[in-house]
Amino acid sequence: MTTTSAIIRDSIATRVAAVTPSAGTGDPFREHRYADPLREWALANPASALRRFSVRWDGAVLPPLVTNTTEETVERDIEIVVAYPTSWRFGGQQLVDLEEVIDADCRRINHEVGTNGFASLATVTNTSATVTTVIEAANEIGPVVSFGVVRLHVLYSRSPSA
Amino acid sequence: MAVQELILGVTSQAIVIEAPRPMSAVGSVKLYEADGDDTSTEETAVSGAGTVVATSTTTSAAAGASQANPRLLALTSSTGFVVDRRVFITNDGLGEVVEIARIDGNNVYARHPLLNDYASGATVKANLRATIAVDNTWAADSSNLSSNDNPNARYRFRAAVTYATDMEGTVATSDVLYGNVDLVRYSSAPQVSPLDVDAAFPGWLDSLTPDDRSTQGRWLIAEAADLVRDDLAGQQIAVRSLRSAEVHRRLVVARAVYLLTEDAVIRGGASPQQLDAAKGAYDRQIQALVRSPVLAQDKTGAGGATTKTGRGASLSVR
Repeated sequence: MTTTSAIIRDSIATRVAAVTPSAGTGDPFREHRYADPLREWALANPASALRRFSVRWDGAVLPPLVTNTTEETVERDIEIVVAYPTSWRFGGQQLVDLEEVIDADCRRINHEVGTNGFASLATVTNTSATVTTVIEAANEIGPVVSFGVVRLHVLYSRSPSA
Repeated sequence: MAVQELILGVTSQAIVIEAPRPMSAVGSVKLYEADGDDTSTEETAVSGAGTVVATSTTTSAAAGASQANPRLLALTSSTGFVVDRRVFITNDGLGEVVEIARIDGNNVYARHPLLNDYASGATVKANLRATIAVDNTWAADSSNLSSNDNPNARYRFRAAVTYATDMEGTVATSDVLYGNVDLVRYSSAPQVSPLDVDAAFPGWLDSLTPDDRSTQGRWLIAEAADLVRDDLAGQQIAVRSLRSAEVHRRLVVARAVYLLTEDAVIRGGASPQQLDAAKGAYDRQIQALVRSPVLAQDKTGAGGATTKTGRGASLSVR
């Protein structure tokens, strides 16, 4: 059974949007509109960037490990980026509190769509066709906007022709 | 506080007194011509004392910065609380002003996240606001209308207030507040919807901050309208004299875009070039439609157009 990269990306984005934030539940995750890269948009609109996220494939598709005429297994990385204005919103210890919120949010995202959570993608992808493992979860703290980054390594089965 | 507009001929209007601190009482409220001192003849528009809004309740759960939703105030009862108005929450010596963004049952949501933590049972009061009724006869008298030629308000109200001791450790004190009032034929509130701004600048809605999303940027538009009023006053034009609703709307739309861009630049986000572009678009509107107008104008203040083309102080009439 096969799936597509678009289906996987969309289902990850749907799952991330449904994650309950670690703090400030009145500010949920919202998917970026992709008119421009999230990092550029967030830097131009820092106050509006809170928990705006993007999910995009990153890098080349590695050659299939296994293939036949109807199905092949490939690997590719996908990056989830979540933006936060660097402000005092999350507590008096500005950067410390912000980092804690970013860390907690990324843990929840990892749990939802990463190594623990890829099975939840089965409703729209094929469970046996998609496996995600977390490569890294990193924070990018900037003077205006900060980002939480979750990189996943995705192993999935696709049709060689479709 | 923005200039309050009373509408000619409308009954049961009131002047609103908004204080920076909770009030326990409002004494005498007097209305004067703005260019008259406090010994001049009072207007008969108001008499007696004002009435402080008495709405008061307590929270039914903890609220504040440490809660899952720091905007949420779960109240024992939301009766009497109104969206867009400000209330005061206090407990254990802490207190802050909250602007209500929405009400859902007994849950009140603040525009901004609370800064402090409040235990269940914290007091929430609406006593930052008081009102005094306006005499219907005075409000129906056209001789009391504010002039179209002067961007300054015609009237000044004087309110003697007593501040409450709602917060532990505070001492009741008295103060005198003032504000400005106009009597007008038409409200100068622009008929601008958030969708109008987004239509002129696609993506504006998407650029709203989290604190403005719940109202779709309505407060931003109101702020933009106040800034347009100030900009027109700088051109010696009274916004209440505007008679082209479309022009007024376009100015507010352009100013709302400029306002959001300006905020992003101040925060170190958007570039000065983006700000220049937004400011330039607004300035061109002012130049083309206000400084060098070709629209019909009312020079006399009676309501109808007295010119067809040419420069003029009023694009609208009151």
